[in-house]
Amino acid sequence: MRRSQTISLFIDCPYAATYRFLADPRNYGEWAAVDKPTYRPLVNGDWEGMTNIGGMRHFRFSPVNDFGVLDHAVFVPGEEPLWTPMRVMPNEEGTELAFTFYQRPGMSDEEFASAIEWITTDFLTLKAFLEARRR
Amino acid sequence: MLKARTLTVEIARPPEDVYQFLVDPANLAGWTMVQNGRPEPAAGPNSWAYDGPRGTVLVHFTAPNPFFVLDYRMQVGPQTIHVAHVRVLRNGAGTVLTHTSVQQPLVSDIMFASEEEWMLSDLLVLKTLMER
Repeated sequence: MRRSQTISLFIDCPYAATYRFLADPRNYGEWAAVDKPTYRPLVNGDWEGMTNIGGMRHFRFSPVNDFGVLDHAVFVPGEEPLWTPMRVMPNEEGTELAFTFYQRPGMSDEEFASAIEWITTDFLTLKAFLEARRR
Repeated sequence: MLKARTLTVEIARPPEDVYQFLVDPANLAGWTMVQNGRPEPAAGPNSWAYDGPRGTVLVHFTAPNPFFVLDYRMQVGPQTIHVAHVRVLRNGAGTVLTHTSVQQPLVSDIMFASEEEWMLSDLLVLKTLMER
């Protein structure tokens, strides 16, 4: 089993609006570590873009669902997608978000810790973006 | 906003096995304090009643689904005493279970902290049971 860490945070934005925003792959470039000008849809339904962790990657997203599930896979084209579980849950007028990151093959413990730091920054960006958008 | 806390536990069993076990409400009695589960269709399509340490507890479960989501809401009399979002995640050949409790308005901070301690110990019982 891979090492994993779950990040959770509260977002002061209603659940339905948060889910709708995150479920649309077009919005991924607004908050994730992908270079926006290079981020574009592919014919097979996946997306591609330059990442700050090592070049061009493909992205695949969960189908829209009633459970707040927002899993996505980031992978090198042609390789097996490694799914990253993510979910939003209602919390009164706001939203709770949980994200589980797995240590990837060949990733050292230091790189894993660093990746968690980067991802946490992404989520704080997302939180600020959604909370500002609401006002 | 209500306080929320996420617990995680790793289980060395495939997520399909863990989900199949947990999605059956009859199995709840195997690893928690509640006993004698029986369907309570009048309360909802996925609602069960159990004998708890302090009387009857009604649990409303999420319908079976392909995302391995296992959310539930516990009720005693008219009052919701516990709400949690649970999901079984694939981690290679094993499982990561995430359990997010949302502190209910009438539950004090001390009581919530205590419930989470109990929850973690229940989840460790589940882990042991599934890995046996």
